[in-house]
Amino acid sequence: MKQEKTVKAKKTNQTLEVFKRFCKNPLSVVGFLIFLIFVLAAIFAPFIAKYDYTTMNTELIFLHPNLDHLFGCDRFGRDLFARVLYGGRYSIALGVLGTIFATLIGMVFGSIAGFFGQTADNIVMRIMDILQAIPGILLSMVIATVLGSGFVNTIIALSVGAIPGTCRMLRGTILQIRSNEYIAAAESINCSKFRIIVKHVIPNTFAPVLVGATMGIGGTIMQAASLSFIGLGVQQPTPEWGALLSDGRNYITLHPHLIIFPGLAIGLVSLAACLMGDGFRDAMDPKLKK
Amino acid sequence: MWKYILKRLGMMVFVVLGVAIVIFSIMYLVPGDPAQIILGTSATPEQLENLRESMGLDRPYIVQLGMFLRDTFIKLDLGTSYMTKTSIAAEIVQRFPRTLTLAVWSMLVSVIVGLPLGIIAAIHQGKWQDNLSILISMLGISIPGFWLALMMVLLFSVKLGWLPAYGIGGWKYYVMPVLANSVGSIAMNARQTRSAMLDVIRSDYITTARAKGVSERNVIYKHALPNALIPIITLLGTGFGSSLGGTVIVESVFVMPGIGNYMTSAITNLDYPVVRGSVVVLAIAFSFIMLAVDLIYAYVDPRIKAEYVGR
Repeated sequence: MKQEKTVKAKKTNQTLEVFKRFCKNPLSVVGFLIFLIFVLAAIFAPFIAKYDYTTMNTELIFLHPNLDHLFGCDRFGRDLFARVLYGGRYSIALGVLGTIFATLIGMVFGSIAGFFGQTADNIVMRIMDILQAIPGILLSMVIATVLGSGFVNTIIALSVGAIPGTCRMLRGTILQIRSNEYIAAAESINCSKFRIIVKHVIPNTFAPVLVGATMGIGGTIMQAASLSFIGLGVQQPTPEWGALLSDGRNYITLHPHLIIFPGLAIGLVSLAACLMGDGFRDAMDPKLKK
Repeated sequence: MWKYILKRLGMMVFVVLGVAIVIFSIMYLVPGDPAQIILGTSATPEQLENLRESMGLDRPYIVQLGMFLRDTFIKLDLGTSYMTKTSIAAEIVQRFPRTLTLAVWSMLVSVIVGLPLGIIAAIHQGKWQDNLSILISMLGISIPGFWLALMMVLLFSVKLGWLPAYGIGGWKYYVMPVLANSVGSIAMNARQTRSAMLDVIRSDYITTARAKGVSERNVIYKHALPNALIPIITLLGTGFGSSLGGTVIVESVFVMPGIGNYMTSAITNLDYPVVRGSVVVLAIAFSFIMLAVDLIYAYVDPRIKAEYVGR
């Protein structure tokens, strides 16, 4: 009983330590705060936006930004500020869910390749060689073409496009973990392979996976926006940021506000995710402990 | 070395075949009847039946796959477009140089700007040069290329009138597409170069070089840089891949008649053979670049050569 307690205490210390190091870096804290603000703004959009994001008003068509309509209005006279706020729900969700699914699938394949060795590794890696020869965004586009547009289909398309990358990353991490003594120790006391993977390998991949996934969110949001931009992905009237850009691109000469604000939203969230990922990486890197 | 080249070539054949099979199989799952798409809703059932038969659509999947592979790799025929009824291969041959020009220049720009940024950052680790370079690469990673493209159109074409907003012609038509397509890779290259340089600078032989009194300049340019460049070569390959992928979006913004534009308009028109053909061609082009990169890598890095000479 006593022993268990000390072990637990040590664990929280480590997480706390990482958290403390993360907080010491002002840039990563700023990134975290920006991301948090965007997420909260998307969740509480109905309370923040003065206007409904679907209500059209013929008198306000292409209204330029003013104090009442902060981001102006679009070609149907819909309030752009509200649309960007609500759009965050779709864009951030696409980025986060797409990254999570890609990581999970990559984890399954990566652990098969990294752990069962030889034949399994060969088969998985050859499949990845093939998938990797198709640039990620093209793979996503092909999948999105087949599945059609829509929220769930876009998540699938985004995750498939990202699988080769996550799979390779996880395989590398797992191979590295496998060479540790504690795995040999677990094998020597006759642990089953399944138990070793679930209890000893996977928990140790969490740190690099968290770093990789955080950094990936920005890229995935951008890929989702590109898909919507060229007419795949999530479509109008859904206010996803890429769809907003695609909707406004034809009026760019006279009404640039239609393009500027959704693009800034994408850029800021990606930047925040990137800063956060860098912060996690530095905080977890044992080399920088001293 | 020859052994390695042969092995790598074998892998290349495998990958290219695999890509064709994967793309064909995914596109095979597309809902809807191609005969219906071609003939439209006014077609009679007999017409549909005849067309399906002449296109081989009534045959089983494996036969269709075989036909596709034979047409693609032996006859070099990618089929005909549903919309224009013209040969896809001929169209792609005409468009490919533009896409390639765009992708190659994007890659070159990303190297020419990205590498020095990373090197300067690593040499001045922790100083303002480092922070500036980190800031630039952060911004580069976060700005969507196609959004930057639109912003540049707004500034350079609409406001200043310096550059054409769309179409194809002389070098002026490539400036904005190349810039838009390379921001992301510039940032990636700068980050990777910085960390590769830092890894090398921390290694023992650099300390040794410094200890024996080599000037700091020589330490950086003679000892650190050549070794840091080795892992960066691989970046060129992946960078080219993302350039190729990026061209698809950027071409659509600038209405540039390359493969990417061909593909995006085909997606809107449900012209599936065009989508399939474009992706297969782009993936094959990417595989060739990866082959070249791997061979250069093997040539530059003595460790890979040694692995094959010993046997």
